[in-house]
Amino acid sequence: MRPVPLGNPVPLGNPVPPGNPVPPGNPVLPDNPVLPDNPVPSGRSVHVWWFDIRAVSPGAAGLASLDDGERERAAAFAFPADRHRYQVAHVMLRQVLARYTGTAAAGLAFGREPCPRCGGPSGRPVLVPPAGGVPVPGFSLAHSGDMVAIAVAGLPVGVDTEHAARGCVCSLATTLHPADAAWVAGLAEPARHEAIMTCWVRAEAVLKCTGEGIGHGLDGFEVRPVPGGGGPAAAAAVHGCAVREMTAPAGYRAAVALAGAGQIAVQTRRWT
Amino acid sequence: MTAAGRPGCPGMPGSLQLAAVTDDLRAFLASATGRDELRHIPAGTELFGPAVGLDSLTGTLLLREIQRRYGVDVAAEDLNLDSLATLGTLAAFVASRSDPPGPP
Repeated sequence: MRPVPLGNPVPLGNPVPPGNPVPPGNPVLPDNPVLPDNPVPSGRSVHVWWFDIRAVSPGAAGLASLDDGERERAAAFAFPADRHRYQVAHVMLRQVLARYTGTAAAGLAFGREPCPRCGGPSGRPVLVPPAGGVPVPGFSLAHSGDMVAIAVAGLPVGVDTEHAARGCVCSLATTLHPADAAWVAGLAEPARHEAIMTCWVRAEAVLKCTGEGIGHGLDGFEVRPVPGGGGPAAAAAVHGCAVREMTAPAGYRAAVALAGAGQIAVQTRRWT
Repeated sequence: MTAAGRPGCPGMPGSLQLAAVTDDLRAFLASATGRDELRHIPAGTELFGPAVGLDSLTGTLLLREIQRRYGVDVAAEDLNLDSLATLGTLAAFVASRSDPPGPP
C-alpha cells in the first residue's frame, strides 16, 4: 500500500495523523454509533465528508448495514484492498446519510434514476425516501487511491476526486470539449498535466450531478476554469450545474457540482 | 511496448499476438495505477466490473492508450462494447482489429 502524506489543509472527516498512515483494521466506528442530527444543507451549500480508507474499518455492524447488492459487489473484487475501499465507501455513505435522514444506516434504500441522456438504467444514484415523509438529500460518492469523498446537498450534487500521482494523462485531452482541449494544448508541462486533471475532475463532477456519468463522453460542454472570472462554469450553469474545485487532502484534487446556477459553498465535515 | 505488440507486425501468429497484447494491457494498467499486482491478473478478469476496481479515469486512459498504440478505437468500433467484458476479450478485440488487412 502506498503511504500518502496527509498534510491536508482542511479537517478531514476522520483524524489521520499527518505522515502516520493508519493501517486498515483500526476501527474508528463504534458498533452502535450515537449520531447527532445533521440538517441537510440548504441553498447552494454542500457538505463534503472525507475518509481515509486506511483509517477506517467498516466493522461488523457497518458490514451488516450493506444490502444484498452491495455485498455481492464487495464479494466480486479480486483484491482485498479494492474490497476494503468499496466497503468503507459504502458503509460510510450509509452512516453519513443516516445522520441526515434520522434513519438507521441499514434501513436506507438506494435506487437509480434513469439516465437523463439515454433513459437507460444507470442514472444518478438516489435515496428512496423513507416512510414518514423525511426529505432525502442529494448525495454523491467518489473514491480514488486511499480517499473517499461523500458530498451531501439539498439539490442534486456530484463530486469527483482523483489521486494526483498519475503518469502521463495527455491522451485524456482528446476526451475534453474542443475549446478546453485547445486551452490545454497551449500550456507547457507541468501546467498541462494539471489542467487536464482539473478539467477531468470538474467534468466528472458535472456528469455525476446530472446523472449522465462519463459513458456519454465529457466533451459536450466547456468546463475549464478561467482566472478572475472563474470560468464559464463558475457560477453560471454549465450543462445545468455550477462546478468548482475544492480543497482536497494533499496528493488529491477534487471538484463538486451542484444543480442550477450560483456559487457553491463547500463545508468540509468532520466525522465525530 | 514489445515488438510483438506492434500493429501489423509481419509473421506474428495470431495467438502470440494476442498474448503480447494481453501482456501489454496488463503492463499499462500496472503502470497507470501504480499497482503491480495488475501485472498478473488472469485474462478472464472483468476490467470494468468490480473485480479490479478500475476507476473511470484509468479506464479512459486505457482505451486512449489502446488507440495510440494499436490504432484501435474500441469505443467507436465495438458498438455494444462486448469487448470490454474482460482483459481477455479486450485484448482479443484489439489483436483482431490491429491485424494488417489480409490480401485481397
